[in-house]
Amino acid sequence: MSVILDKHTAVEREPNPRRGKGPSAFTIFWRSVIGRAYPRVIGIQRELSWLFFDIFLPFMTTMSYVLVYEAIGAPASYKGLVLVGGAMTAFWLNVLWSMAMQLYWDKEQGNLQLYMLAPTSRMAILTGMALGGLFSTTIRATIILIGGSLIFGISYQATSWLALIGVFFLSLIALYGMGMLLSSIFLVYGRGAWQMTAALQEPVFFVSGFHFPVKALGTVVATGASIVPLTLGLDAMRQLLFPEMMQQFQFLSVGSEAAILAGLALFFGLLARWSLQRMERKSRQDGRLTERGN
Amino acid sequence: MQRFWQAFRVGAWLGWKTESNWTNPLFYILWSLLLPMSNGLIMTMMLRVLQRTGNASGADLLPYVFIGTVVYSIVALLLDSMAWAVLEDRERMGMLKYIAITPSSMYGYLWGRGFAKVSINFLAVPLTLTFGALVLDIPIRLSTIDWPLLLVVSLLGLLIVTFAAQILAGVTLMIARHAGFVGQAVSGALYLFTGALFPITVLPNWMQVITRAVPLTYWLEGMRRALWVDAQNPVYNTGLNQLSTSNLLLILLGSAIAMAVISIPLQRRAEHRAKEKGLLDMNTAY
Repeated sequence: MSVILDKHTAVEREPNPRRGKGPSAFTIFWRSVIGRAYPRVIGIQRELSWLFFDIFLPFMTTMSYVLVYEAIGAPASYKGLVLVGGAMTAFWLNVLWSMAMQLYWDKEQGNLQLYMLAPTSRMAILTGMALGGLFSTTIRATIILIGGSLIFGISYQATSWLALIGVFFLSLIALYGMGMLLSSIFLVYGRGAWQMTAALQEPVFFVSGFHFPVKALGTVVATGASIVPLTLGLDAMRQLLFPEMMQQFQFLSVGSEAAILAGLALFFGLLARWSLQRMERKSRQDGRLTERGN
Repeated sequence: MQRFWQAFRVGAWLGWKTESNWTNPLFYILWSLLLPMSNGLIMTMMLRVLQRTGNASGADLLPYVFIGTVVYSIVALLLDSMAWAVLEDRERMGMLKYIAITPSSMYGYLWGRGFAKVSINFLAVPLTLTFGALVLDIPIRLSTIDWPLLLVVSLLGLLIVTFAAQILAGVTLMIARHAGFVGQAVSGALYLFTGALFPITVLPNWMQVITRAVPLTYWLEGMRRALWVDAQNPVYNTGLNQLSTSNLLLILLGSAIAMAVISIPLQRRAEHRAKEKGLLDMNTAY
């Protein structure tokens, strides 16, 4: 049995049972998640201009797309199709600019080195970012959906609300997993990361069918676009909300799309974890973690 | 004036470097095509889906919508460029404060940044319109384009958008960086009040009044008239086909002057207020 001497009095004492035992890895993980989500949730309360710029203005953008269908006398369900897509654009933009780009942005601002010094997992930080970002993004999407439905008199014939909620969350888990993966990749990029992110924005709106059914692009394009989880997520949600109209535009069955989304969620989650470790090591080796303005 | 041009030159040079030297020129041109091309294709698919299923009634609006969307991508780029330059220099590079403490003109500097972005991307718009004419059968023909009108309308429109972008940059000086982008949000919202995607007659009367007060509505109408020979056909019910082209040009000229008169003092006021509230080195890492 080891004997422990008090360093001040040199008197023998009992070992401290708590010594060397900090909070568990699980506790640290969730504390980090909350710590990183906190500024995103609190920040929007302190700076209320986001209500105007992040909710009201995008709401008007979505209305414009719906009005295109109004102009050519489309049935209400087609306007609903555009509205659902318009609401979901908020999540894609959030993943691109507040997830994928965030570590790069943090590097430029000097925050990244603080994350690296902290005794926590980078996945926890990214999860916190995702949850914090989801907060304001969900508010934006909900307002677009409710407001647009009221203005244009769109009614939904949801066959199963439970399935709808399930598909919605599966899509988001897979999507934010993709955001984490992109974030790790952009960690080693220079200014090209910014341009690459910008390059992903509009083309994905097109190939994923945010404003029209993705099947209209043909099976090959739709299959390729399915790597972006919102492609299948949107198609499944539209099938559940407008079953009659979507009969002619159905790409895959809802069950198949949900299964693929679950697979994508797992795939992106694991790949992001692996990629983050690898890219972090590479960044350390190349001395790029503190690099700015390149 | 000398300070303005000096700052403009520096801003344009910096904008050029930061925008384009991350890759080779050919890839950059392809990259700059993505925005207008994607927007044009989205609109084409939206309309074609309805036509294929026999759910569309009324005139084929594709030429109207395609030209409006592609030309409007310049508005989106320019509005975003100056507002983004403020955020980037303030928060990412941390150098906005250094510009503010020099005797140079921030106004000229931001114009330079905007000019760099638009001039680099300016090639993308004619290329996308050409793609539309050749592949999507949009009725734009070199022989029917009204070149003098196109030149005048383009210049006046760019002036108007630049002054509007300057106002937005002033607003950005006083607010935090959000998940979205101020320029993109405003340009997206203006879709609704410019008739870029649909004839303004679709809107309720009170919204049509607002739309008629927005100069960009006339700019897009002018661009359509210059590019598309059938733009004034009453079958499209655009709400502006009664307006003569000379009156349209006068409206654009008056708007450009009015925007200049509004944006210059606004920018000064925003700069002053940002200094007063200590916002020139604000860092919002949400």
